[in-house]
Amino acid sequence: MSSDVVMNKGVGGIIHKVCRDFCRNEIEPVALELDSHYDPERIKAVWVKSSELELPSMLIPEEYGGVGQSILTAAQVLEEMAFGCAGLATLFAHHLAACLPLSNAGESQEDIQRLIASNGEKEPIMATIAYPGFEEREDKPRLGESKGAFSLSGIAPLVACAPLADYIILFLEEDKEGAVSAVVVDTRAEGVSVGEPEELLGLHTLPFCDVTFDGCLLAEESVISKGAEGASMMDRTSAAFNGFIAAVAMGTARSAYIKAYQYAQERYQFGKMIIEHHEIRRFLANMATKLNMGTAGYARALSGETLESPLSDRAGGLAKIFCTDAALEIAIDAVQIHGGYGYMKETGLEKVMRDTKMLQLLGKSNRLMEIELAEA
Amino acid sequence: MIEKTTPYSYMGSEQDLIEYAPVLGIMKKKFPSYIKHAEEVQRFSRKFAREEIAPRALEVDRKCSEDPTYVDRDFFHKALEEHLPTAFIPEKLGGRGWSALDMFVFSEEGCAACLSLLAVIVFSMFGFSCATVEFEPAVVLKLIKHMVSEEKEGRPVFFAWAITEPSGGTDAEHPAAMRTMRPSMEAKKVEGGYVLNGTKCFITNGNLAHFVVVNAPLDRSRPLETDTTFMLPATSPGFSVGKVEVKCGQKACPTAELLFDDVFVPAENLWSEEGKGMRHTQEILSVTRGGVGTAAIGLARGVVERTVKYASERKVRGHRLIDEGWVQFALADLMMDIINLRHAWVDFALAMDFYHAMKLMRNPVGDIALRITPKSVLMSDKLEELAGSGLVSSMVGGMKKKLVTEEIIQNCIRHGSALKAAGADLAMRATSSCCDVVGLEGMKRQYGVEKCFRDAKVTQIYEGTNQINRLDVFEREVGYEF
Repeated sequence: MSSDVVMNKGVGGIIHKVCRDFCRNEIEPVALELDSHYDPERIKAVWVKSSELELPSMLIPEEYGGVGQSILTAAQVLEEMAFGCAGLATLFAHHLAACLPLSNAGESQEDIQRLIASNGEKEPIMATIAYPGFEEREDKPRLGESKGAFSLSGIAPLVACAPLADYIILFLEEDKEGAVSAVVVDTRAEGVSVGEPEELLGLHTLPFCDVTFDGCLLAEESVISKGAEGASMMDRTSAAFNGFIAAVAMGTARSAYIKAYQYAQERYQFGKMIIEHHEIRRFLANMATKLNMGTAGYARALSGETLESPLSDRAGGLAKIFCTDAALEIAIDAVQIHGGYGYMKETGLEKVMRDTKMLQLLGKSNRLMEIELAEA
Repeated sequence: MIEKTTPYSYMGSEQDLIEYAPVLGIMKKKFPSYIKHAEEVQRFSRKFAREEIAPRALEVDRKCSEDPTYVDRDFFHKALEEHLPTAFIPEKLGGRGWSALDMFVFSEEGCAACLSLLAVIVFSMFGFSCATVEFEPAVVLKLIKHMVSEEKEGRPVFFAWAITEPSGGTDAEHPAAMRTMRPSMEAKKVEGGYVLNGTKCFITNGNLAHFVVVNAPLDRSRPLETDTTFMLPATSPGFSVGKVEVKCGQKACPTAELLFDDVFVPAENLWSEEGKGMRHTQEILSVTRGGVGTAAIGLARGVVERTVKYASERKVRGHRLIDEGWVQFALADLMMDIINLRHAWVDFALAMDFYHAMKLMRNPVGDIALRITPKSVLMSDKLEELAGSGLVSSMVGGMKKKLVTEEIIQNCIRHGSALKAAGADLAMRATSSCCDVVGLEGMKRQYGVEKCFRDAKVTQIYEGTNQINRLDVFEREVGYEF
């Protein structure tokens, strides 16, 4: 069965078709190789190619040369990309989430938005986001202000795409509780140094690096937002980012599910194809249930419709929890259906398992998010 | 509040064996030397795990990612110095005289440090346990002598046990499944022995093995009725190692494809009787599955220990990460299951020592014979010759069949399979939960948590998938027969 049959034909139409082709032609062929060997050049090549399809500028308003698509459409595009590689899709997820505070800032960030929207004329610039970590650390990045000039010092740990990105949208906790500053930092600016990519469990196709700010000077307009307004901007960005990660999880889990479904029809054991075994069917039906529910769930979360029930305004986070948890379960089961073959690198399933485990931890670990989201 | 060093501080467990399992305290009254020995083994294992396994684990894992055939020679050297590959051989024959309980204690402690480094040693022992299970005295003595003398020269002897074929792992481990198996292997009877052809895959230590124990049917169209077990040295003409797999985890312990192209096996290397291959497999599984379950529980303990350490060192919201309620409940859930399952492995190890083949070692006749026979005689060729004579061979074989009945084997498969599947599921759940606790920052290689996650998944797959293990439990519980 090809992915087309499983693919939901209802939404997105042409965008989906284009993205699916992009995924097959540009992402799938390089995913396994990039998983073993980090190669910034090849990642950049995918990035440049994507700009021919105007993917980096999807969320930039039309007035600045972007496509002005909805967050939901962006998520569905990410889901298609993740079908080929969760890591590369996550790279786009960080970029697209970073576009939101930029377009929120409007005119003051017009230049960057126009650069993102250059769409194939030249290498489009890439942005990424970084949240204040959960952990209390002495060296957390802090924004200093004197005589109207801002300077940034501290270390932002594990910033996704840091060595590739041109700009980091950084959210910083202020001293006052509930106050957050959102700043735009040029990664080439003086006082910014990006460390070596860290070796983590998965998502090897995008680099995570510590970024050190050493008295990095920021222009006034680089501070997009402050205080309660900044906190609200961070919440909105997180909601979208969480929705994106939910979509990425569903895309990569779907690839694992399809492989498992196909394999179950080809693998002979106990005198019949293993799909004839009830236990395998239970696995498959369970995986399909989670996929269907998760895909509908994130779409609903990002569509803006909310249920009239407590906490439902935190739908982006809830979707991320459900979808990434479900994706890991699907990946683990897909490996199990493949037996020993699933554990080997070449099948590509163990990569999905490692990647989905990482997706659960992005932004914040799901278990921590549960605690924070259910706050009264 | 956890302030002092806790039993869960990484590899610094102070809890002793009897605290682990109170039943062993009661046992100690009746069998003092047996339990004391296990306590000594535990102390030794912890030291070995802390000093030799844990410091190497991450580095070897990385090197094996670059080259799946990489082997840490220095580690084997250390293991040989401690006589670990021959630990279960009686002391008088040159080993350490470990009981099953000792072995299982070593497995839990070692796997808490690194499942994959330990697997290289332990899986080789599994391979050798084929010999003790079948208990052909001449063959056992010959191999023991070989292992001990090689060890003296600083060379480890590896065994691989080749069951899985490209067409099936499950089919090769269950009688009803094997009836319909489509094996690639076939053994043809020729003058003086057999000629083997076909392919085995996912064989642990396959590329390191000096000896391979392999199952093949004499007639491909009747795999169950004609399945037979053979032993061959890896130097046999026609035998070769195919690809060495690139895996998700358990990298220090290689997995290889084995190719058989007209490999001649002399009749004396027939390991089971003709057509008794599946029974032989079942006997092995009755021992090894419990071992894999124990290893998985050790892995679960190891990841919890690492996580406790990590969470004790991090500050959040004005306290340590470990003081967060959600962290405590996540970890408590795992600790609870580790405690419960540990009783299952202790129980299983005791069953091995008191009911299964290891009882032969503890059998009064064998024990006295071993005690009174001078070492020079034990290691001499004369004894080997004598052991190989039909009389002695059938005497010992007969004694074993009387002591280790079919019922015992089936019962041990039941308990071993339950332990294996439950342990492996726990390992997977524990590693996943611990990743959630340590978060993205804790996924850095240096904390070892991500490696545990990668290693854990294989425990649900090998030694029979958890599905076939479940089926094995069920069938024995309700009394299915094949």
